[in-house]
Amino acid sequence: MKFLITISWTLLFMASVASVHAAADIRLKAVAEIEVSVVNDKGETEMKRVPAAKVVPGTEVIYTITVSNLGDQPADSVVVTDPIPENTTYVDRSAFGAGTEITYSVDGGTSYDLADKLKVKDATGKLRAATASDYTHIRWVLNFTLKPKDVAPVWFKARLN
Amino acid sequence: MQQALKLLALAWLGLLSSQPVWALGTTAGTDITNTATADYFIGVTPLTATSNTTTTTVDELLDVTVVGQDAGAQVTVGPGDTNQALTYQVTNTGNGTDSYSLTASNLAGDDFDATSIAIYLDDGDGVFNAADTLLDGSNDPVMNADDVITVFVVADIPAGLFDGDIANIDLRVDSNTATGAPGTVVVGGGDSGTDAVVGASGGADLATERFVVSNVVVSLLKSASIVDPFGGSDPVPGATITYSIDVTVTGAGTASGVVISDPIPVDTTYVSSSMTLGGVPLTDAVDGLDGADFGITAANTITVDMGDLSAGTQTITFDVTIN
Repeated sequence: MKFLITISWTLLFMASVASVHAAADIRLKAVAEIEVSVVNDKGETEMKRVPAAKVVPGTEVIYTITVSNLGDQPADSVVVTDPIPENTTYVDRSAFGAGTEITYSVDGGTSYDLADKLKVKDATGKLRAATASDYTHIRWVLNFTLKPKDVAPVWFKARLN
Repeated sequence: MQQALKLLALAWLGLLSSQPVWALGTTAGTDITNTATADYFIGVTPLTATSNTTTTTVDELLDVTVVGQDAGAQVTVGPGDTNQALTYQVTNTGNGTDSYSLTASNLAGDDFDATSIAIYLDDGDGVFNAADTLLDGSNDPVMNADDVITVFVVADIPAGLFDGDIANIDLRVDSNTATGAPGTVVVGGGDSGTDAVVGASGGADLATERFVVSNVVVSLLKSASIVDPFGGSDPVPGATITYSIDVTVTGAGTASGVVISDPIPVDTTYVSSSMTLGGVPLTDAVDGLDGADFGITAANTITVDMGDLSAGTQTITFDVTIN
């Protein structure tokens, strides 16, 4: 009896030590939605977000990525990166993330820069300013520590080609 | 289900007011996925997290465009002509495969109706001929996204029409999946089990072309003036009659091979070398200088070969004396 209790106490102690080391738990949740007009019970038209399950070309899809710290350790230098989905075009100026610096890639995710600094080569090989349709990836660099229980949503819109 | 349809239809209306029109679209049934990653540090340890993957399936848009191909949107015909063809091009401007119904009809309010209207699918040479397929409603064309087909609306032209008469003909093309208000959804009606959604075109389009009649008419107006030997105008023996024949061509085309013949009246004698055309003297002999002669092509007859004539009037004159 005493022996068993000792064993289980040791196991508990080891488990709690293990949980301290494995306490980092950053979760990323991605959601794709579209905004629809709904007529409510009062007959008023309002906008509502529904999942973007089936969508026709030309529709704007809202991509929201929520970073959550479910652990008990703070996370620093959090950088969220998302490719602009294939067959879509980034909607200019639609990206947002409180307390983040937003940059984009036009070279498949190799390098990132602020929107007004990005350049691409045109058909003649000359450099021109990049536009939303050139972006391949989007990145949010959090300028704050994501403390335990913090939730940071970031989002952008892309139009289905 | 109804609520979902209403939501989608209303969403579509909102889009129409703000989006430009697009001609191509991602193929229906394509899955659009999104997976995000986060890099971060816990203390000095670099770590990565990956999100779930979202999947969005592309629905099928029902759209079509019809454009008339004839120059000036018209074809010139003659009264009584049969199997006259108007040419149209039909394009599937949606993003999936669809079949289409074609209907051709006379419009009201014009000069005539073409008859026996039929629609043919071009075999690829762009010209209406026996190799083309009659579209009779049992063989609606099936088109993939961006496919283009040429069709002919073929009809007969009634007789008794006047130059410039017009028959307007509409060709209307409708998606067989759905037509109507943009945003209307046919659940499961699209390729690969997607929904089909009526696009900005309403799933239908229409183009109007016309048959224009070209009917060339030649008319003759003959007059005479008399000068008698005494300075008067009595038709007495010895008096000279000058005949004028106004040859008038009306209509938009060309009257070809016009030959005017006029036998001189009994009891008169032709005055040699008196023929003129437009004031220019014509020779009496068959000499290759002009197409006119007296008494050679036909006895006692002035014959003037005027060749091909377009709209306008020319005057032939000749003199005879009363015996």
